[in-house]
Amino acid sequence: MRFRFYNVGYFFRLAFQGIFRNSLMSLATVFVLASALLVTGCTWAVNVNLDHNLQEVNTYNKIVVFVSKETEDHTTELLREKILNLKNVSVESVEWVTKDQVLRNLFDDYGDYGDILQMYDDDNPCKDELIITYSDSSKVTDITYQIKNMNEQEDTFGSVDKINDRREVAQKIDEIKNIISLVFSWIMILLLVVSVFIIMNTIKLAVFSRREEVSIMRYVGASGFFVAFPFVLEGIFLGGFSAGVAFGLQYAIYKVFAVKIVGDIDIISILPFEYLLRDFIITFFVIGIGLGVIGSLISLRKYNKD
Amino acid sequence: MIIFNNVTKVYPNGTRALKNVDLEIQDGEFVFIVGASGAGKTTLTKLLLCEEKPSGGRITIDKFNVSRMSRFKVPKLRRTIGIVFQDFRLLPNMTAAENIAFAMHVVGESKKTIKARVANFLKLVGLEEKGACKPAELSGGEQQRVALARALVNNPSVIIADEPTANVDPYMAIEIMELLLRVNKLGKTVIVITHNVNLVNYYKKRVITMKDGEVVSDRKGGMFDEV
Repeated sequence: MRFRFYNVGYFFRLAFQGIFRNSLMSLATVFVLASALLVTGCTWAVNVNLDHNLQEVNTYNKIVVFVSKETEDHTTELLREKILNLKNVSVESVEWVTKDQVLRNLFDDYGDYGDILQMYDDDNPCKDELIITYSDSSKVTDITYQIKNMNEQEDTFGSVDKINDRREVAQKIDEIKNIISLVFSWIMILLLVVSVFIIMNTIKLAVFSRREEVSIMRYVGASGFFVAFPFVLEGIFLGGFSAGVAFGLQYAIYKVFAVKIVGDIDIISILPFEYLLRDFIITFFVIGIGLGVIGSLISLRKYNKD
Repeated sequence: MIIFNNVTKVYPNGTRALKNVDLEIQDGEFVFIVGASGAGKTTLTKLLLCEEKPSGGRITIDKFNVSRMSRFKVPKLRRTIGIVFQDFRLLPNMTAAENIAFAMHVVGESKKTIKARVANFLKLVGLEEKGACKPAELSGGEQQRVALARALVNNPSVIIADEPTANVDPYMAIEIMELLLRVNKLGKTVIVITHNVNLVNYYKKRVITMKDGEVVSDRKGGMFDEV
């Protein structure tokens, strides 16, 4: 079939006619598909922000090894070197803070009340500390395990009093992230499947309302593309419109909820919406339009066989 | 030329609609296909339009091997066949002219060509004054003439008329038959499927009679056989 530009207008007219002729079904499609996309967007936004916060926790997080009081300085230095030389566990630095320095830091931290601690000048209760900085939070278990092993080795035997890491915080954040992902993923999958079914039914209704026209088109030799394209276009418009609605809602939710409400909490850092803007647009429109096309093609499959 | 070579059609429910049909229709012929309900006439039409595939045998229409045709080639075949239905099947929201134009539009003709040819075909079927009327504003006979113009407008080589006179009065039936004869004289193959004994006997054209999925008689200049 020869391509005619005036057909483009014809395809668009039929697609819009289909949308408005079955306006209730079109509205239902937009509502459900936009909801599915919004859930997708929210899940993703929560995950990206959790990852971002987790990275920050990891950046400031360190493992503190408290050295036993009886440990000689040369043994502490040996322990520091052994930790620094650990292979494949991402140890970046090991800082030795003497017990005097630890006490002085406490004076500083307590400010005006630091004087109270002067009573400990002669009998310092603090211990030497080795502060380990690492780059990969997943290696924390390995590092602590190997330090505990060093405590059993002859040259550094009994040198480790206690190891303080913030693995639990990282694990908790990971757990929350996984639960949120799981729950939202199921809701998202459910809504996306429902969306495809609703799009299919909307297109089926559109085909049904134009069945006489479609039948004549087939008898006079219209190509499959000519018959099907207006319906596919209808699916594309429904998917695209749903994506637009979802994007608008996502913007509002993110600005109001995430940035204004959660953003006021000091310990949580929220990424600006603009950072996610491009990915939101691409994801929403690719999924929305993709589902529109899939839904319409599935509902047209039966008609294409005739 | 249309050739049915030992064609059989068995539907999935087991109904044998056609049994070893052998048939040849030459280019430019005028043929009546007659038979009682269930004789196989509709199946024959469906096979010609490639709405159904034969279960056995071979069907050829000009250069097309219908028996083995991919669905992508079906539109090309259908552009060589014009079909007229008993119930006209005009689109009610379009005018007579738009109904005819629609058939050209969907196969990609230019607006200029459509405009010129629609006017010619309205004239051919004697409805040049009624181009702006919607089907509801036309009589049964006029609607059938619009349907005939729509079937002809893409210049097919074969016209299949399925009970074209069933819903019109006897005077209009004659008028439609005369139109089909004119079309035939233009060199088109015309196949008329009908129950109308009087028309068949009056025109004395080739008559193919079907019964229980078989061709029981095929006579040139024949009459309606009571079978």
